[in-house]
Amino acid sequence: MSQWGEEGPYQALLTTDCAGCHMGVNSGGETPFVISATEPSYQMTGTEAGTNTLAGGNFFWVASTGMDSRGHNVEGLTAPDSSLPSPPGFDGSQAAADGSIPAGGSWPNGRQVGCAGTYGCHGTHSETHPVAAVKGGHHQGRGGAITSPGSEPAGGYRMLVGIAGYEDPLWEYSVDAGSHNQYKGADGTRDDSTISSLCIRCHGKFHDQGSIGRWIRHPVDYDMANSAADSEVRGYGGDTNQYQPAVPVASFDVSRPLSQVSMQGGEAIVTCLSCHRAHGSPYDKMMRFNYAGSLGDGCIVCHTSKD
Amino acid sequence: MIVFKIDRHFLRRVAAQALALLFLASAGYAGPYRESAHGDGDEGVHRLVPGVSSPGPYITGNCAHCHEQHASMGGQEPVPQNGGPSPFALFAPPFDSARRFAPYQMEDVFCFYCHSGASSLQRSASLMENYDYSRNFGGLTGGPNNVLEAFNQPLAGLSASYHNLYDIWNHSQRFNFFKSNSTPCSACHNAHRARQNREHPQNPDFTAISLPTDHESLWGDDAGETMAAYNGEYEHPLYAGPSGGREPAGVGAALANGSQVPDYNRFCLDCHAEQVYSSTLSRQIPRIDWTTTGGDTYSAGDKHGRNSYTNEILVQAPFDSAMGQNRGFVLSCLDCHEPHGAPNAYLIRRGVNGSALMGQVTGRAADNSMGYLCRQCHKDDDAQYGGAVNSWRFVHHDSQEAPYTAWQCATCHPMGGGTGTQPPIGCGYCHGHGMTIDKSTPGTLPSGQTIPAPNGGARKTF
Repeated sequence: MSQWGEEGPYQALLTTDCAGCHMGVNSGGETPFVISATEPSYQMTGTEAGTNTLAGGNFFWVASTGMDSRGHNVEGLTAPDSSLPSPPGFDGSQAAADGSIPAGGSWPNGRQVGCAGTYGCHGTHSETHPVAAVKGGHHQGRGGAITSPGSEPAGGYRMLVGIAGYEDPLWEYSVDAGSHNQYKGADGTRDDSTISSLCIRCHGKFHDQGSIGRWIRHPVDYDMANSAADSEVRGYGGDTNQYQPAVPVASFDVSRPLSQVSMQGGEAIVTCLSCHRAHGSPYDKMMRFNYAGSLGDGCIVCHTSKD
Repeated sequence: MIVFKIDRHFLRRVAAQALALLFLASAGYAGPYRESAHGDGDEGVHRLVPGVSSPGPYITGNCAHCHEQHASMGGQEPVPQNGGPSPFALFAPPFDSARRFAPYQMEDVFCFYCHSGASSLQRSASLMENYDYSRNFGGLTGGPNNVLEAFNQPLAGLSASYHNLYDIWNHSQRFNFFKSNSTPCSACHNAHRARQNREHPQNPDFTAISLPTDHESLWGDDAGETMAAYNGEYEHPLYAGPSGGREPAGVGAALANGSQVPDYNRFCLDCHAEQVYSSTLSRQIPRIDWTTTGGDTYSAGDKHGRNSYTNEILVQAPFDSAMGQNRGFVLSCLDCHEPHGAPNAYLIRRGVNGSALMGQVTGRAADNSMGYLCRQCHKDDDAQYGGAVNSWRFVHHDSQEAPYTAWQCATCHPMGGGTGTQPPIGCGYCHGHGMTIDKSTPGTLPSGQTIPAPNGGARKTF
């Protein structure tokens, strides 16, 4: 079979590994492709008409020579990062809902991140093998609103243990203000079901400031509705606060995607994914937009007086 | 005008939001930050990190040169500068409020990391030298080359003065935009909007200041925000540069109509319309009334403002040539004062109205060194009849509107005696913002002598 991988045998009687199924060019079909052999169409933010990347972006760029900073250097997809032997900000204390901690709490120098498992994002960190880590996830068919993710891999948003969220059926292949993932957020309190809490499992020192929120510089899991009445961030999305797929914000309620966000509370929450693509992007630091090469493009969506 | 400002503000906000929604297509749009000095793609902020050969992929003007979203620039992740979070995600603390007095260090104020000369973190620091007002707009040579130096000149001089940054920070807490973690500089400057005025000294569209009460807007870039708003009452001082002409920067006399100068009066009075405390002077600085007319009445404002002179005034060029129009003048605060620091007391400029002061203004009440400033525009005995420099006998005793009759020297002068060389009375006993003299004020001199009421009973003396 042409779909068979070359490195078998594979666990669970699979014919290939993660990349075997998830490598390709997206065209709106049923399989999300996260890495492409040829450069995907991203345009400026990956949200424009004609783009063919998904919500997580694409690993194509980080897999290219000299582009370490443009995505997660996932084992099997890319070479190890040339300058980062471990996840920057890793502190080994952030557990998933099932109690598992990435790398068991101690990241070996030079060990690459994986798709899933002990060193990965998807599934439980208590399983070394990626396939075992996401066991059941592909078959239980959960989708749409994941409001009670539990602690099983299959129960979590995108098989991320304990993470809540609304899953866009096309992984944002085509995205607009009314059709998109809805990320789970919190407001200054610890909530291990938010999308940012997933990132913090490996990058805790970026944002861990003790018990009061998890940020040390740019805030995440912070609700812009907390800002002063005349704050510039209340201009997110214009006068009607339209949801901006290029710079998404999270919400308490993830039962449905929001086409507008309220500045009354719980719907305008800054997340890691407001700025970053989880898999990769054409830009430095896997930014959603060309931050380093611009004068604040992207930033001005929230920081509206800084245009 | 206030209504206009609100409308303009609203429109700018709508424009900003629209821009945010369409930021992909914004490359050709120059928003306030892109038009600002910091956001200039060629000469804007560009921090060089010590020990790091490359500042990374961040283009000139990029946010990262001041703000660090996670960790330190240059790969020193994940420990941020100073080991902890800095407000506004700045790479260093905005202000050390424990620093109450000059001399200031680079670490005291975030802005000084770049606005500090040779130790600046800014790439090509020479491109961003910031001279004082006397040089940049007044045409004098020398003086400080950067903002930190301007605040610290001269370090130990009794006469040097500076805008106390702690006082500014403390006073500014009353403004809505200002936070306890704000830099004192942001009271007057919006770092995301301030433009490169020094490169365009005759064009207030490039103003670098924002009213503390209207932080999100530049001040001076609208017609109603310039000295032209005084309806011809502003007379541009002479320019000291080789080209001659008038301030700012040698504009031709025929063109000097106030529109080249931001209305610094309205700007400064955003704070100084009320009494403010000076830690440096350990006293209150009087409130300044630059608008009320009324001649020599008690309720009138300063004559250097909109209030008018008393019948006769003996002034130097270019003010003398305008006297035929029978009008008073409204001076700009920066005609006499530096905004950051000066080698004289009271932030007095080192050069005024076309030339350098001939002596240092010490700020001591007992001497008449303030006269070195006055004589730049008013006629001392030297200018009047070739008498002594910074001697003021003629205007006080011999002129048509002289306040005191001559030959009664000992009434006021402690060692008076008719020789013509009576020890002067310190200018500050009678002259200063808001001052009036009559039979009860200014009261008693240190010599024990009481200054009598002037001819006419009372005079507003500034």
